[in-house]
Amino acid sequence: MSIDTILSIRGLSVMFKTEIGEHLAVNNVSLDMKRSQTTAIVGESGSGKSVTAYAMMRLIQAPGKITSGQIICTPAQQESFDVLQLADNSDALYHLRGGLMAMIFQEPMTALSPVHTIGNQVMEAILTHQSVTKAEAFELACAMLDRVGIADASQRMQQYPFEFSGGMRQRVMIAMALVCKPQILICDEPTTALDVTIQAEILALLKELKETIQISLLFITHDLAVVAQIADQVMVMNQGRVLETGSVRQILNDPIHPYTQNLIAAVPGMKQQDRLRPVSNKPDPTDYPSYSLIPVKGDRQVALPVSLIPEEYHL
Amino acid sequence: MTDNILEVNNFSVKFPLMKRGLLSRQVGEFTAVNNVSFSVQRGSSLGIVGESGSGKTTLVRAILRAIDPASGSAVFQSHTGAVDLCQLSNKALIPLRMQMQMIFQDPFASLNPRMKVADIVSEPLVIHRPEQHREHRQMVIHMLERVGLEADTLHRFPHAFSGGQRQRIGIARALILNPSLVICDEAVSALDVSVQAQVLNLLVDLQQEMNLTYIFVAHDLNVVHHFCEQALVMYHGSVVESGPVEQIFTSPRHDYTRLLLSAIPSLDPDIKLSPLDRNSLSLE
Ligand SMILES: Nc1ncnc2c1ncn2[C@@H]1O[C@H](COP(=O)(O)OP(=O)(O)O)[C@@H](O)[C@H]1O
Ligand SMILES: Nc1ncnc2c1ncn2[C@@H]1O[C@H](COP(=O)(O)OP(=O)(O)O)[C@@H](O)[C@H]1O
Ligand SMILES: [Mg+2]
Ligand SMILES: [Mg+2]
Repeated sequence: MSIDTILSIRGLSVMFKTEIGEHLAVNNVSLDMKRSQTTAIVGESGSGKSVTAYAMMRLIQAPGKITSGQIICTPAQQESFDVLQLADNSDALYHLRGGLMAMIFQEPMTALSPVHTIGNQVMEAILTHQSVTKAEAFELACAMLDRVGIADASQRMQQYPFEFSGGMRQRVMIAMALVCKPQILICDEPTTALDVTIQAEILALLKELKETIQISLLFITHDLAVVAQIADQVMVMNQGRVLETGSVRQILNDPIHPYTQNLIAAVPGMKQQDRLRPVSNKPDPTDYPSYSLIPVKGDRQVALPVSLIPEEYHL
Repeated sequence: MTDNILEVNNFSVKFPLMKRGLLSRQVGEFTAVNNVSFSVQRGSSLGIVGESGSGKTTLVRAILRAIDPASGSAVFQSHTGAVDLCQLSNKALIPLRMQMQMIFQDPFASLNPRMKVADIVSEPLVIHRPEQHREHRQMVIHMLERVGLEADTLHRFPHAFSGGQRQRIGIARALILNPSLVICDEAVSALDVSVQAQVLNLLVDLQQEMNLTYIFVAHDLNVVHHFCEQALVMYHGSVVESGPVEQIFTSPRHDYTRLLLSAIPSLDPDIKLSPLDRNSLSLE
């Protein structure tokens, strides 16, 4: 593991026990997040993206269980530690969730209280994580809302979530996530429910934040075009497994795995194609047999047997 | 010669603005669709795009008279000749409903969850073609086949199916009466991209086989670009631009269309997203 890796997941598996049986929602996943970069997890619904993120913050609840793996975190100027080894209810785990890592979601309304003003909620987040007075918290909240592009912040702090548009609510969530100065921001489909023009604004904000405050982003999405715009590194997931990793240009311009190739071909493009090329919809793991990831040329990995990897990629 | 299956003129839809309180009362009107005119050529696909709340759903629901328009006309070429849907009584609309069908994002949201696939797909037949009841079962099986579902799905409940299969069931229900005009309201929006591609391909095949005309409402501009020949761009209840899809995408004339197009992320990481600044545009 190189020095500039802030988070390194090794062999993570998460199992859900249901009436139908045991189901490996995340199956032996490994992932490296480079410091101050954006790592995207892309995959179709049910592929295990959110469960991977929840595991990073130790938020998996019954009937789910982390059955194996390591999540090695190396915060700036600190020793590495394994997130999965932290004791429940420990200070370290509390610090991880409230300080080191923060998360924003697709639907901010579910994370905001409908009966408290925006200002109260942002101030509450500040007061639980910093020892400041109420007046200072008000100023900080104002500055933070202003920072994420909410005009007239001191006025708007008096308003309730329902008075905010979807895009504005997502900005509030970003502000609340940033108050504790996290080093890792997990964004789980943060623009999926937004109009395309608002999505563009939120993506621009996240990019600008990443560049100015040196935060490392884990960006989860099903949308390959969003990946193209936000990611530095990309991991393609399918049915709980990682099928391919590489830089954003490698994955989008030169995918190796047939699943990634098909996923890209299924996107209706700007050019009028005659026919889309859908990926097989059979939820049949034998479509993409469970080979393990192997390293190939260009610092990338692909889950295929060597014989199926074109020669030019062989190390 | 133009063969328009639908001609909509000066079409507006208004909702009452109510004041909340012990006795709620109307304090004004909200114009959700504002003086819209367009036509749809038989056998073609017309896309309607615009941000959420722009009036797309209200427009198509009012054309089908699920809600009543405030003014305007919607002339439909039925099997028996031209009729203005806005002028018909609810009773006179019934036979026409067979010829115009709608496909929704969640096809079963409004249906009884205890209905099996067979009931869901045959219900329109039971209502509109009771005299053919002997043939219903065969018609349903045939329709399911056409949308790519096996006959053994007949006796299962829709919640047991994946999103793509559920949408196929919704399509089968919409097409079982052999309509000529099919309105798809965000019909593929909730589907994964691979499943979306299959459903779009299916809709194209069915259009050719059954000579369908589509009105295709979607907030995803790429889907409309792929699927439709003509499009309307709606903004705050008005159509701000209309024309051939290719023209709208390559040389948009209205500032709102330009804003929308500039916000579409490219699949190419080297084509950076640079959305236009809302404040520098004249949007109304
Ligand atoms: N609370 C739960 N109970 C049972 N199974 C779950 C639960 N949460 C997630 N799963 C399973 O985990 C798999 C991955 O889910 P998730 O990570 O949410 O997918 P996505 O890639 O869409 O974010 C799903 O197939 C689902 O069956
Ligand atoms: N039944 C209704 N009563 C009052 N307002 C409505 C009703 N239905 C829709 N609206 C309003 O009409 C506008 C257009 O809505 P809609 O047609 O659903 O937009 P779209 O489908 O483009 O997202 C919105 O502002 C919405 O709030
Ligand atoms: Mg998810
Ligand atoms: Mg709508």
